[in-house]
Amino acid sequence: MKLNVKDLTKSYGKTLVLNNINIDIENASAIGIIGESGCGKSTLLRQIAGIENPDSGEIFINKFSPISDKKALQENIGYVFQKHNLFPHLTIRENILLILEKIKKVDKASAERIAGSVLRQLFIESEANKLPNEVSGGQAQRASIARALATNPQFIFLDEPTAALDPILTNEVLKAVTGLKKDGRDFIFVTHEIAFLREFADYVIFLKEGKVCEYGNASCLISPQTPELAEFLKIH
Amino acid sequence: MKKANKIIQYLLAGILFAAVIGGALLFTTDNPRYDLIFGDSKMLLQALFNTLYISIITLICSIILGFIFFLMMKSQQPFIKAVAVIFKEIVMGTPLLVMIFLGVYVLGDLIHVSNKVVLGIIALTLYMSPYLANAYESALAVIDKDQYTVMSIYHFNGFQKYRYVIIPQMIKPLIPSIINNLSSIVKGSALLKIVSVSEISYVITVISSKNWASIEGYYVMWLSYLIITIPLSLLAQYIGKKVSK
Repeated sequence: MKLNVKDLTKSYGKTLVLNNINIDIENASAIGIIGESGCGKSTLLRQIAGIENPDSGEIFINKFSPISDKKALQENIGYVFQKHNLFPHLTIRENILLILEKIKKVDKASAERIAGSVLRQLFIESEANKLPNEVSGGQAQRASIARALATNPQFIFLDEPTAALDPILTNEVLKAVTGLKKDGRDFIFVTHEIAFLREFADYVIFLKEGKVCEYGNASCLISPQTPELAEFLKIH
Repeated sequence: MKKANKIIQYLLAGILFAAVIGGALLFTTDNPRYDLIFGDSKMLLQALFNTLYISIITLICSIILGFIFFLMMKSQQPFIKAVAVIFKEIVMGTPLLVMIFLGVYVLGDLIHVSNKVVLGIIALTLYMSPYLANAYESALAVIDKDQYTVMSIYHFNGFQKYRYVIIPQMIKPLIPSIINNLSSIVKGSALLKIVSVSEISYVITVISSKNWASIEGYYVMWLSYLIITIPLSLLAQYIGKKVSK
């Protein structure tokens, strides 16, 4: 995956959240975005995914621009949120089938087959006929990852998928995510889990107060170039 | 034990109110003549049926028109939104009595319809629709903004958003609100007597005037509405509790 961000800024009202972001990464398979709470990590992820439009600047993820080719990019995206964000009135299986059958117009038999396959992959098939509020937080988040995978996207975006989970469930979800890497998909993710980051990411972007403080391949987690990243890693 | 105690407390309170109402019914006039009012039971039952019929048709029309207003209030087009918002403000500031007058006489003349039941239903529908639109608005609050983000990422169109995600989640919280609105319609329909629609209040007024028994008439009218509205209110509370579980 190639990620190119040029002069990106984003404000909410008078608050400048992303301040002149520039990133140029090539041949990445998993890019981790880290930084203190409120530094703009999730905002950057939302701009890259085309969920929000930046105030100014350009973004390219491979050939796609989330500003000018939003639909084309989002056809290739699976997005996992901090909370599972499954539709609460539908069972886990129905959540996946709704996207496949009604929105992507996949025929019923194929949709059932794909749903079964992604549910098995995330070890959640036995809970498939339950509503999201009838399963644990970790199971719901794995179901949410299964839904994100169902459309066979090239890019998986993860916005702190374990933020709302306790340590045991966090481990359960991160294990499931790690298992997906062998499928050859590209990941961009926001996390606070440094151990997971070390294991999973091949590139890291470190934000501080809305600016890129440091970015580069994952070796910067071992030998950071800036005192800010060194301090951040020490604390976490 | 606690539940049984609660039921007993409620029964006692119910008996207290029944005694007060019973006392009022028996002692407001020296010689109460309820038999005169109930003498024409066939006419009374027909009036009760008419009230329910008018109220249910009005509710159905209000659910539909209220939903249209609700969609208009959500519109991205400022003019469409403004029409809905201003209409809502005007109606909510208008007494039902005036709305019935406007519906039956002004609108009736305008659209050349003279059937007062039809015009009465139109007036009640126009009056109730903004309240139903508000109920839709409140029910919509159960859907958090992240669900809209999910729909946006998967490019749901407007129909798909409402059909598969929004409406199915709105129905549960809407039911108690719709039942409460039916109760309001039943009570509001009493004002149709000013245009001589033969619903409960008109028929009882006619019977009691004929027999010089207005006090008894008003009491029967009061009880007739309570017989309809109290079960509706209890039903709304029951469904509300079930839904919130």
